[in-house]
Amino acid sequence: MKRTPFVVIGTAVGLAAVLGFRSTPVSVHLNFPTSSVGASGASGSTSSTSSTSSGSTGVSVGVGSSTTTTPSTVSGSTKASLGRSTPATLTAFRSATTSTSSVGGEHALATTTTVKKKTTTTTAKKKKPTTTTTAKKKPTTTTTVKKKPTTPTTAKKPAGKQVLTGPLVNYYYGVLSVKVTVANKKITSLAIGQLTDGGNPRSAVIDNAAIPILEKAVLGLSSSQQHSMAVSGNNPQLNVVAVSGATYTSAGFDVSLQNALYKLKTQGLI
Amino acid sequence: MATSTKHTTEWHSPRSGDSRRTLSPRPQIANLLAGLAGVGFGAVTALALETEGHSALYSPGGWALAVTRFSGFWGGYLLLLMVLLMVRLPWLERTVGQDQLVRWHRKVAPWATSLTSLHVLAAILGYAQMLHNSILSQAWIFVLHYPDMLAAYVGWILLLVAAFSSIRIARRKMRYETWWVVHLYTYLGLGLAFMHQIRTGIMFLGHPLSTQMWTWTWIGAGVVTLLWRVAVPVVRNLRFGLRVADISEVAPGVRSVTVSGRHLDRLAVNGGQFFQWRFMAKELWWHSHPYSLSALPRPPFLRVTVKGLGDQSSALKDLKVGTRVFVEGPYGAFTRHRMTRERVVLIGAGVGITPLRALLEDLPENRPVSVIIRARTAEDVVHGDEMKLLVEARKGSYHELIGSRDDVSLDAATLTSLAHGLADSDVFICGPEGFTESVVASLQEAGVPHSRIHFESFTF
Repeated sequence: MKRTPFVVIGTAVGLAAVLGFRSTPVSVHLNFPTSSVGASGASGSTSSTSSTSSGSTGVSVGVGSSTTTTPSTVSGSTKASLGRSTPATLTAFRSATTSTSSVGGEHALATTTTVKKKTTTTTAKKKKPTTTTTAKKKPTTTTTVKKKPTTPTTAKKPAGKQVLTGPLVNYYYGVLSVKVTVANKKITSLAIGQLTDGGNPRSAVIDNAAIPILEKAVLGLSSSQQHSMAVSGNNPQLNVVAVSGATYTSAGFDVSLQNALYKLKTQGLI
Repeated sequence: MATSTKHTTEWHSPRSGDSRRTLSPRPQIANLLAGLAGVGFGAVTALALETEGHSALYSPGGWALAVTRFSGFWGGYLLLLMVLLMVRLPWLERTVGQDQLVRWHRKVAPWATSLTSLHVLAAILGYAQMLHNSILSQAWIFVLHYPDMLAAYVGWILLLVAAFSSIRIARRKMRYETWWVVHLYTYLGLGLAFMHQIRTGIMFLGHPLSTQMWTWTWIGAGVVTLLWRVAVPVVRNLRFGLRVADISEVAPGVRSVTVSGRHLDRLAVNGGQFFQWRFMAKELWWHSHPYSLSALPRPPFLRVTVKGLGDQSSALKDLKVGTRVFVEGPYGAFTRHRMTRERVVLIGAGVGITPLRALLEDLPENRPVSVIIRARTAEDVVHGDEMKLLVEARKGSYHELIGSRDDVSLDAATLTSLAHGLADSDVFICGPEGFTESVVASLQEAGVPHSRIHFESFTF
């Protein structure tokens, strides 16, 4: 046919254009609370540097999750949440959503690409309000995430380095826990202790895109800001770090992280 | 009636002046559109491709979900193309020709339908594997719990009904109107199936630009369809205000219908093109038929010549002067723009002579032309007198071959002897399907290359 070459060339152009220029815009909002919230009842387990996170005990936060980290229980609770029942914590998650809303039980979508950072006002000092970067991350559809354990660059483990895994949090689309490594009263690395998102590819994509951004965002905070995140409870300060489009994942991440930090604080490690 | 004679005689006289607007084919636009169709296909392929990866493929249901994405995107995109092929875009209509567009539409159809169906089945299978559900319950879960999936299912069923109604056997047993209404519902089906793409398609998640581009592609297709299939015809017909002015029998069972209207000097049409005609009379208005103009317009008049075939054509004898007429067009690429050589040969039979009559009138006057007409009896030659006059004005040759199909053979030798320089001519054929086939075969035998044999075929 006469016009076949045009169709073929067009196809190549279309393929190249999409594969070459498509990226994932996901945005981060850092909303630092104006007042710190005290709470109680959190726990977490500290383990020494050498031990792996498998020894850590998950702690129940919220209704949907159980106190154990046995996979069967976890997947059970995940299924329950995927069945569109609303855990009690969800209400809190929702009310805390700042920039996006959830539509029909789905993850909300983000349209902004900027990173905002607000300063905390608990300290009287004024800080520069923003550093703006654009977050780009390509999602893949792996159903489970193992995020960079980020072993310290030095082969020798520095003294005082502690690893603590935060409570396993049911964030409606799955369960996750955050693993915090501290050294010299500072967070040196963050990782995911455990993540089960029910195998839903949508959730997997969101989690894969959002979690690295959340980790980076927290590591980019000043230590006083990090310290102010040390709060316990199942609803301490939501959306301290949040990726829009991944409201639920962010909330779950926050809760686990804040409880982990609280535990570390009580042990005087940060 | 005086007007009757006036109108019928008027078509014999040469047209005065030629300030008429004409339309040339636009091959560049057709090429551009072909390229754009390719870009879209590449883009959707890339969207589906980008979502895949090793871990995605080897997770539970991964392969089925990959099939879901590719078949969904390809099927959906091909459906979009099928709609756009039938949009009656004027540049495409007069460059490619409606017969060719319909042929492409039919060629794409089975792919679009089966890919879409594969998409539905693979989605159910893949999600069932991934979430450890049974297949039936997964299908049900989609309806109950996934956004816009119920609408998508309905859309798919509407599409399937249209697909089955277009299968040759079903099509023959069905009234044209039934088929038409069923086809109309595919627009609804496509509309219903759109939202689930955006809402559940993983490639659109967190990709506002991709989402917007895909959405605007669909909205654009809808707008273009409404514009060219509804708005343009309605506006033009309000402007023209066509009414039947005269009906006269020109051969046994063959009638010329002359219609009059306003602003017809603004109507750009080439000889050999056709319109879809709708006579707004009882039992006729819901049915439109393609009829070629049997002469170039002589504002304020247009003329078609129709044989008593099919339900509308026979009802035409009861047509009254003054009846409103609604036309869509002009369509078709059976025009002088197909010419590549100096010499032209026109071969026609039966009522198929009519577009040749208009085409002949549209040929540049200095062109050497040979006209060969076959008819059962001398009476059956439609507009023979007009053709003779037009040929004389062009210093060409005019031949009538009278007799039944068996008596008169249009073999290579006959054609070569009747038409001067046949092998170096452009040949336009119009007549019944069997006639066209046999003439094409003879012409090829006589050494006319396929690219210079021009005909329209509306049998698919």
